[in-house]
Amino acid sequence: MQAEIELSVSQFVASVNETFEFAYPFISIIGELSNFRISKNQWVYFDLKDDLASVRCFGTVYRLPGPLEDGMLLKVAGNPRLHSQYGFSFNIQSIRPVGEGSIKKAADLLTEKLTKEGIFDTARKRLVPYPPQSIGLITSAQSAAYADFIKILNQRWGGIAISLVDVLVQGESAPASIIDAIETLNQQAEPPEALVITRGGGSPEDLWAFNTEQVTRAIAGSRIPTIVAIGHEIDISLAERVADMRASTPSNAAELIVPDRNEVLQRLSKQHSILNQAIKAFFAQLKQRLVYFREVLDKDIKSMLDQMYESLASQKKLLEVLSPNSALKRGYAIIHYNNKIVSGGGGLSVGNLLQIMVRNAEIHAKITKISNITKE
Amino acid sequence: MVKTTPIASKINYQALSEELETILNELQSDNLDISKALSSYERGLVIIKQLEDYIKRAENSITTINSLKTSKKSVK
Repeated sequence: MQAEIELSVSQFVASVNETFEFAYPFISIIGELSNFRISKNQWVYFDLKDDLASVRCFGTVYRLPGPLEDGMLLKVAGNPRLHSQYGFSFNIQSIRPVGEGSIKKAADLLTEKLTKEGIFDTARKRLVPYPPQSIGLITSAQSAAYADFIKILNQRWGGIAISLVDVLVQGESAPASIIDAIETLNQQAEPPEALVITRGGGSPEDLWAFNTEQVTRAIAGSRIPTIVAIGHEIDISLAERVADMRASTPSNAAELIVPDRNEVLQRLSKQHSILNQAIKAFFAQLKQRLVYFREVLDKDIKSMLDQMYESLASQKKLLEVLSPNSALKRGYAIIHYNNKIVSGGGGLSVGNLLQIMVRNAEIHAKITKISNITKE
Repeated sequence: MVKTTPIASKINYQALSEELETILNELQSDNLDISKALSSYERGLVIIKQLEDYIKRAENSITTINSLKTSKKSVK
C-alpha cells in the first residue's frame, strides 16, 4: 500500500498545476461551443463539450478569432489550470473553428460584424502604385505561391526591391505570424510601396488564418496599400475582401501590380514614332507659317512701292505745272536785265537792253518807253 | 537581412512615363516656340532611351526581413 500524501489545499492546487504543465505543455481540445459569453468586454467564458463530457474554458477577448455562436465546432489550444478559488478551467491560447460548417459560420458572423463597421467599403480602397518600386512580400518562402509570384514578376518587370517576410500561412500560429509581418513592414524606415500577401489554395481549414478578425484588421490597418491573393478558393476570404486590391492567384497578383515589359517596350516604340512625327509636324507647320509671312511681307512691300511711285508721279506732275517752261509754253515770256529777272518797271530806264525768253527763242530788245509805273 | 541579387540602376518609371506623356501632348499642341519644341523633343528622346534601358536591364532584388516578434517554425 502506497504512503498517504497529505497536502494543504494550496499545496494540492500547486501540485495539480505542476502536473498539468508537465503532462500537457501545449494541448488542443476539439468540441462544440456552448454557454458562450463575454464579460466586461474583456473576459471570455464558454464550455467545450461532446456527447459525454464538458470542459469549462476561460480567456481574453483578444484570443477570439471573431464572433462565435453556440453550436460551432471549435479547436481550442491552451493549458489546463486549477484555479485556487474558481476551480478547473482550460485557459485559452487560441481558438479556431473547425469543420467546413463552423468555419463558414464564423466567417459569416465576422463578415456581418466587419461590414457594419464599414471595413470592406470601396471608399476605403487605396490605389496601389503601378508599378511599385518596392514590395513587401508576405508569404511562405518555400511555397509554390512564392515561386509562382516571383517567376511571373521577374518575367514581366524588373527593378523592384522585394522585402520578403517568410511567414506561416496555415496553422495555429499563422495569424500572429502574418500580423507580425504586416507590422514589421509598416515599421520599416523606408516602407515598401505595396504589400503583397499571398498563398496557394487549400481547404477552408488551411485558409482559416485569412478569415480571422485579427488578420483582417491588420490588413485594414496597414498604412501601406495591400494586395491579397489566395489561390484557387471558392469563397473569397475576408483578407482579400479588406485588401486594397484582390488577385485570384499569386501569379495573378504579379500580373496586376506590374506591366508586361514587352508591352511597355512596344508602347515606347510607338511613343518614339509619335515624338518624331510631332517634331516633323511642328517644323512643317513652322515652314508653312514662314511662307505665309513671306507672302504677306512681299505683298506689303509691293503695295508700299506702288504708293511711293504714285506719290512721286503726282509730285512730278506738280513740278511740271509749276515749272517756268510750262509758263513759256502757254505764251508767257521771261524778261532779264543784267542777268536778273525783271518783275516790275522799277530800276529800268529807256535805252536799257533786255533779254526776253519765249517758248522757243531768246530775244534782245531795247526799252524805248516806260510808262504807268505804280508804287507797290 | 540577406540580399540575394543586386538592384539595377534606379529610375522613377512612373514619373518618367508621365513626363513623356506631357512632352508628347505639348509637342502636338499649338503655341509652342521653337526652342521649347526642340528641348522637349530632345528630352523625350532621353526619357525613351532611359526607360528602354531600364526595362531591358533592371532586375528585381529580394531581401529577406525577419519579423519583429515571431519566428517561423514550419513551412507550407
